[in-house]
Amino acid sequence: MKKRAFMLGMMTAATTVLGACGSEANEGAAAESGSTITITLMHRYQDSNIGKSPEDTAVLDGLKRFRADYPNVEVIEEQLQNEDYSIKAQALAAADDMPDVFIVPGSWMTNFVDNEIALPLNAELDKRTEWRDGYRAGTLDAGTREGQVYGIPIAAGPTHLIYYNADMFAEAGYSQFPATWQELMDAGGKLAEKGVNLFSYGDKSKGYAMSSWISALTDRISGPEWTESILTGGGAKFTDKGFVQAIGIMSDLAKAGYLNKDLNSVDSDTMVNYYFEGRSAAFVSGIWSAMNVVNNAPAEITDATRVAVFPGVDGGLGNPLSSSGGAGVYYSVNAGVQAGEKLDAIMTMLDYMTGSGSAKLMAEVGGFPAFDPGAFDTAKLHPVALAAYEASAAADATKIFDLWFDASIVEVINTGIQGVMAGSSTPEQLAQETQKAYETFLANP
Amino acid sequence: MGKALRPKGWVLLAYLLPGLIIYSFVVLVPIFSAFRYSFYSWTGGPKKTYIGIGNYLELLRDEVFWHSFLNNVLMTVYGLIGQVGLAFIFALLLMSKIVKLKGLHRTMSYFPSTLAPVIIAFLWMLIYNYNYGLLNAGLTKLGLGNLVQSWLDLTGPIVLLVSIPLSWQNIGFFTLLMLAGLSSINKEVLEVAELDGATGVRKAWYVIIPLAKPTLVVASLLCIANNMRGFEHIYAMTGGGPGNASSVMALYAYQTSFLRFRYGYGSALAIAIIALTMLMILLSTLALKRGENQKGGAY
Repeated sequence: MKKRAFMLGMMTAATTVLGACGSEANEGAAAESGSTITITLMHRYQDSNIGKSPEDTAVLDGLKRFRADYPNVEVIEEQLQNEDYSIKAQALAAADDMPDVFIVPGSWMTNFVDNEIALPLNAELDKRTEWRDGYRAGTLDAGTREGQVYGIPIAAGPTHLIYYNADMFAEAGYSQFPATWQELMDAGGKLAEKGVNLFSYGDKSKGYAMSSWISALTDRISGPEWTESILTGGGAKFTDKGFVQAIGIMSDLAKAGYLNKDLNSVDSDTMVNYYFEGRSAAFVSGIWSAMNVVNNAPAEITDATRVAVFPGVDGGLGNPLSSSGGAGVYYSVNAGVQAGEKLDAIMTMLDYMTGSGSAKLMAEVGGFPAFDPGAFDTAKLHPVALAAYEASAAADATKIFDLWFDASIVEVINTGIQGVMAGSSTPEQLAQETQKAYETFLANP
Repeated sequence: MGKALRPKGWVLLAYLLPGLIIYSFVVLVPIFSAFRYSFYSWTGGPKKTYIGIGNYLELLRDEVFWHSFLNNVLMTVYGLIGQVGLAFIFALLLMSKIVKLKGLHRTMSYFPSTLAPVIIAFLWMLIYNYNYGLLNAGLTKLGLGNLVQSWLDLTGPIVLLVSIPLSWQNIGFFTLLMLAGLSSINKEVLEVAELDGATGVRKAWYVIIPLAKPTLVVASLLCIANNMRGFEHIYAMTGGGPGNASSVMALYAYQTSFLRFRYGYGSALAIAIIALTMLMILLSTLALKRGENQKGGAY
């Protein structure tokens, strides 16, 4: 019975304890340093990832430069792993006890804005137009509500790219990546004869399917107007043809046996490893996998890897070259921070961490920053990373559902798609379940 | 205790107070606040909207929750067979004369109970793994290659598959419990039974089981409570998947609160879990006690 209480008790208890720790640290620091400004920062970039992940490398480098240039500002930083971050941030948010600056994934933004946890930043950004206008088109959008910017984007780039082994496709008789779904299914058959999966797929952690497959596929068929209509409650339904057809394409690939059999029980790391081991001829993932291929794949796989996007769909309303993308996570400022010296310092810090200097570094080490780095030194980039970068820059980024749709809807799709891929439910059933969750969301106050 | 030695009521209360205060803060207060929050539509911030029993009405129609509840019940059934049942047989074997190296067996069978659930889950994920797993490798070696499966991707028997590691972990604990219960049976009774010709299975069925009934009842109730609150293994092994196939109540409440940001509804789920678990334990206690009375056992 105690475990029952644990579920909810955790929230209350954790926030009380964590909150207490946080505020003590604050007071202590302020007392020691006298008149300096103290900023508390909680994010999910880690020193141990420097050199491995472009985002971590660039953001933490920006923070280091800021600390060197502004010795009078003390930044109390807390680095957490992704999952730990989500748990802690949600507990702190529920208790209204967030640090001054924190990371907000796009799908949390509505919630954080509605609950007045995040501070609107327009007034501050208007003072720094050069920085504000440097962001790539659309990257500020998912952090903007009713014209007010609540989040500063960090990295952008497509969540859907296909990394494929050109040698394997050449052996199967394709000089380039299949351009239609029919051709792709044929290729799947030919590869299956050789005992190779067309795609490796790993959705254990739920969310992969949505960000790398469903968003881009649905847009191929329904076009961006449908997504817009869903977002504004404009009458579009999840039971509409496009969504069902997109899920149907995925389910067909699974049913035909062109994906690995353990698709729901392995995570995306294993999925990529299957590609490295030659068990699959391709995998679908975001730009973040480019550096993984460059750094960790066997040399012959890295050399053979090319980058593509899904083929267009006959009669589809969307741009057949588009990919789902945009900024995924944002830095937000606590709504409790008053305009003045401290907020000023915070904005400067965010400029250092995400603005031009950081963006250039991120691009050079293989990332895709939200801030447009302009021309940068591409010489050091591996061809795979460069191909991914170019595909990203060329792709017409459409909305990533998991960042835009409410978390309650996202969860239903994330869970339901597993059932569809396992063959225990149909695309139509998933569409109905999602529609139900969507209607509940619309009806809730 | 003699009446003269018994401390006064308020002294007893004072001794209990520190524990009671801690218990209230970590158990009672969260339960009461969960009960309060269950009447609100609350997405996690300072804003809450009172919606009366709306959450509970939704809960009644929530197929996923009831599916999760059935999974809990199914896990309990598997647990009673795989944990309590097998543990009883193991305990009988350890009591009998056939088994040598009893200490070693006892230690080995208890060992999994000392591991963290997450470690157990990872161990069994490796065993079930499609490409490298022990299970599939064993099947192939035995010439049963056609049975090779991606086990944790099966939606049908998934609850059974996630229950097996749980049994594997808890069997040692229940074996110890049974051994303690069995060792309290009067040796003379057993000797007399043997003189009368009751050996092996008959001795177990007619003599040991009736005498060990109190232990069996306690073990069963523990097992039911354990399985109704199951969370960690499933969270780590399948995350409730594929889809919702292996979801359990606690996991669903967790996901509702912390992934879907529906704290109000999540609280209602938590309250429902408490109510359902209490109901299950009440019913099983009644059933077990009734069996007791009919047989006129001394319990």
